[in-house]
Amino acid sequence: MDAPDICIIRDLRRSEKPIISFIASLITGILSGWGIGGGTLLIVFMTAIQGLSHSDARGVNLIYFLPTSSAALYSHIKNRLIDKKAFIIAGICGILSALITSAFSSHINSKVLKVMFGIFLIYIGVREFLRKDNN
Amino acid sequence: MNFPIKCAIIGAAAGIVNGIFGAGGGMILVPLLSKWAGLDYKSALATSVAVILPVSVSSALVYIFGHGFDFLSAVPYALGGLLGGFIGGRVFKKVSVKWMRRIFALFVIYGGVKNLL
Repeated sequence: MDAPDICIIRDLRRSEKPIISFIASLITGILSGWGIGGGTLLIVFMTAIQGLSHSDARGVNLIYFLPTSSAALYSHIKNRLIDKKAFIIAGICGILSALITSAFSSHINSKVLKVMFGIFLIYIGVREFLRKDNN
Repeated sequence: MNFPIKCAIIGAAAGIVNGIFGAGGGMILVPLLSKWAGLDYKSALATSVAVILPVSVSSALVYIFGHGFDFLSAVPYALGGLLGGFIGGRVFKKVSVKWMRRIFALFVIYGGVKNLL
């Protein structure tokens, strides 16, 4: 009698997980659209709450950002908020450095990567919390 | 240092962070574009979203070819992000991100501590 119950619980968890993922990424998507770290927050959610490895969370987050930023950019372009010169120069240099470091990142020990990301998060969090401006 | 060189350094720094962690490039771009390169704050936020898109595409391609990827597992995140990004873009001009950033900061610090423990 126990086995079917366990199966039902497992199935419920399976069916709930995509909904939770959808809601979490909807909330972080709003922040991503504003450029205030939605992707970073989604990685925290996936690793600290959903229990994904940083490597898996990194892959999901990179895919997540493609439709998210495209959707937000539609409005940003319409509102003429993008500095074209900065976008072209920073974009090209960003692509080149990301190609090199993302290939390199696969060779970093996962525990070392976790510590590095932890330090990065604490630095970003403290900096953002203490920032004094009116925006 | 002139504007193009500053933008080149800022873009390269964001690419390094994005390539290693798979996120966080915007957290490098926004303060540097606004405070160092002199962009208006809202323009820096919007430009950072624009820069991170092609940077994420290149990181994602390296990741997919290096690791392989189960695209189905990313569908709920991509759909949620698509809707969230659309909403975020639509209301962007009307909101103050100050308090959102504070709440974001607390979650990020929590995530950072959890990574270190």
